[in-house]
Amino acid sequence: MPPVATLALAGLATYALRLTPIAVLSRRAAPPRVERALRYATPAILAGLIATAAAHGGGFLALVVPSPRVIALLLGAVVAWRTRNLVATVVVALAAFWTLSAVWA
Amino acid sequence: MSTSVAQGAIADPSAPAPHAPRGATLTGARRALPMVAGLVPLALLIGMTIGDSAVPALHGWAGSLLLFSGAAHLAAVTLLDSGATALAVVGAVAVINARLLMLSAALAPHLRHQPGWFRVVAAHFVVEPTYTLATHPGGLDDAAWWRWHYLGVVVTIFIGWSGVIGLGTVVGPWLPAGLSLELAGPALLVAMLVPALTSRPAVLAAAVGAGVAVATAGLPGALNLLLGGLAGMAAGALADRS
Repeated sequence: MPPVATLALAGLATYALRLTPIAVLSRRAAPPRVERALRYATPAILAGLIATAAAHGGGFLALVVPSPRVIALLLGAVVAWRTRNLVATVVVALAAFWTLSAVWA
Repeated sequence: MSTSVAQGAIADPSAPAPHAPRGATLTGARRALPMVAGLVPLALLIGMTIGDSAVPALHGWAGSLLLFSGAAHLAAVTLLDSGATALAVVGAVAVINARLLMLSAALAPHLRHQPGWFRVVAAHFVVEPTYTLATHPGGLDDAAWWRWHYLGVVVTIFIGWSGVIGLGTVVGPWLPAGLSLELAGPALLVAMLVPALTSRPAVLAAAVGAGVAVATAGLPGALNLLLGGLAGMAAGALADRS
């Protein structure tokens, strides 16, 4: 199978995941309890993605032991908190990661 | 251009809600520009990964529209390069993107007053950056404004995203080695998470989401993202009630 066909199939599977909740919940509202939970989708999902990347397969220990990865993301969080600036956050986190990685060992 | 947009601010509650389609579309496009800039390193990383892989560049690049999801795109290209079967690639992408079930469910109430054709189109572009911008408080009670604004957001992000991925497939070999872009995605997510931590339930949702995702990180694929998301949302809802 050509790679683009595989990607199209993967895209179709992704589209089903994206469309199903919209199709179901657009017609009638979810129970209030579910609606309330969905309000917290952003913090819950983003934090899970970030923590998984920060731990980098090392579990909780990797989150509390200082490493270039964890320190860079924490610095990024400070920049995001102080400036609310997407680009500044990414630039500071990446620059910190490169600098710390270079001097770490 | 307002100051906050020029600074790349994500929250712009003061944005006016013009009724003309053009105004709403332009507002969406303008609000998406800082996001596009923030996505550049991740898009470059994906493009460079495609360029380094055995996957033909055009095939790999097409994933920017077919998947429209950075983490899944990166995983799919890496797997294709390692000779994985189509089934393995589709399975890995489906598990990574299972979290979009929750994001789409959260977006659904905003789409309730939209025509069916728009829901069918809008669904394909649900991903963290577009979701964050689409759920902008302005114009929520105006279905037409919301629709054109969403269009401006997703078209701008798609053009920037696919353009920089294409660029990455070409310029990859000329970029300095050793400047790893692997933290580009997580760093952008941090920039999107911090402004969302506006209440105690939201902070709790993030803490529980992070904790459960790390605790279950050993599960196959990216199931931990789904479990973390569900646990975080449940925690947020419970704290909200009390």
